[in-house]
Amino acid sequence: MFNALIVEDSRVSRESFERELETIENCRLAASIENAANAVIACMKGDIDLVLMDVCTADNESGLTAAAQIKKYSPGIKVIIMTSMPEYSFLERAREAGCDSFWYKETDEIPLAEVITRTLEGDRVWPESEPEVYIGLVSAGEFTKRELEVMRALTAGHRYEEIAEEMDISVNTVKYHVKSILQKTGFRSTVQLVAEVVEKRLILPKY
Amino acid sequence: MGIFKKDPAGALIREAIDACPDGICAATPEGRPILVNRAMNQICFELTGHTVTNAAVMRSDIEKAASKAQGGIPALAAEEDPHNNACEQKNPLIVIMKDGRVWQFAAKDLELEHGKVVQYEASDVTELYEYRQRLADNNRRVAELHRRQRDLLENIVRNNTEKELLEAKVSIHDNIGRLLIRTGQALDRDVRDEEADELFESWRNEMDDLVNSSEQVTMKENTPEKELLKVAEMIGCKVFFEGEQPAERESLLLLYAAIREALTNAVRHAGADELRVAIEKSADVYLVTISDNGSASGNDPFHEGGGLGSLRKRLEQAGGSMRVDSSEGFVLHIELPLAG
Repeated sequence: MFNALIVEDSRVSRESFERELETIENCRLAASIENAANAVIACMKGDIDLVLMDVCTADNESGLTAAAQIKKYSPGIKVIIMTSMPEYSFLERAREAGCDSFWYKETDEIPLAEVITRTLEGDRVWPESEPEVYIGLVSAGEFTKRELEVMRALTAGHRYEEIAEEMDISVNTVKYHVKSILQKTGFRSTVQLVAEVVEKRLILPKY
Repeated sequence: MGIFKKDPAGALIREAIDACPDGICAATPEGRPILVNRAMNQICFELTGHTVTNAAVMRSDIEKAASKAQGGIPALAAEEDPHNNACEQKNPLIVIMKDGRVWQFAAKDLELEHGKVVQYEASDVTELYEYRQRLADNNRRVAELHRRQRDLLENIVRNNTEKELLEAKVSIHDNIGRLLIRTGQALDRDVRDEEADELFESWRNEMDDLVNSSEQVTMKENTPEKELLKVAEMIGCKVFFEGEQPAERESLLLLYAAIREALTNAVRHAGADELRVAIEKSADVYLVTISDNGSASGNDPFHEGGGLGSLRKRLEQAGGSMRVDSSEGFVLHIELPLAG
């Protein structure tokens, strides 16, 4: 029998995951919590075999940070990241943290129950691609890695000088990236850009 | 002045110097003028009411005029200029005239063959000064715009959440309105059982949604205590609280971040099964002491690893502080800011 921990701060989603878990024979719910940082504690004594981890949890605690901690001390615990956010960095960061599977809450074609069973059998279940998000005139996939980094810094409210320092490039290069992003998207200002990026949840600076 | 009188070359030099738009004056260290050009005399006259009779007096008069105008006047030569070396005055004097022109004064000590000479210069920096003022204004405006953009970013995230909640509430409001009308109609006439059952079911669903959505609205204000106690119990550790917990949300969240860190360390490294959190409220801070009954002894080597390090950073960013006392067991002292 596998003991599962659910980390999810929306009550409606939490209850639906609990119901989903009930349908899996060799699984039982150990606890449901809202705050990802508490999951690290709950996983310390080795009673938990599986964590269903939301990314944006209560009090702005990141499920990805918590997952990395859990995997660091207990690599045997299976962790499934669940999110409804199309934030582009989540997939990569989940992989880096050593998570076992990744599931998009609203758009994934594989049902959660199947992801859970397969993960418990040692399979790694990952979505084939990120959900498609349009920023202005282009799909998010058309931004370069550097452009995405610049956008992330912009959403965090950093100035060009600060961004240049963080990315170890010149201010002119930052401006060049910004200009290229604005050209692609068709926006006139970075404020417009940032508003769209945050509203579409391509970038969530807090997690 | 007299030295040029009989010398035609001297007269030419004198003429050239007079034609110079900048003020030039050479004087002995005591202040006796050797050479004063027209521009310098004019500036001196405008400032003091007489032409240059004593350079040292002129200098102190200019200093007085400059200090009157000080405050808000940026020093034009403030940037290090490698071509101007030590003999030039560090802080040039800036004087704004009644007609709006701006003069910058500098004094330079010169060693000449027949003794020391002080050379005074007045340069017209009106344009430069105006640009500098405009630049300062623009910088202020940029800083203000940047601050507003930051606020805006904070609000975008919050507004999005609020928008979604509002939509949920509007939908519940509409549904309840429709249900009320249907129920009213049903009460006015005889209802079939199935219809009554269906209505009842609709009401129940709607009420569930209502409860859920109101929980979502208030969720952010939930106390973190309950869940922490729950996970602490899962790993067999009891947590005891003494004193009043912070009312400020930010301080409360910091407190729990610290408790989680202490709890993790106590259980992982010292096998503790009890954690004590004592909170004292002073005039401007919360003083928190977190201790455990674990086996950590003063002899254990202690270094501030990733978890404690990032907790310290988070606390200090929020205006709090942290101190670790590992002389007897492991005690975490933290200070959390009070609102205001």
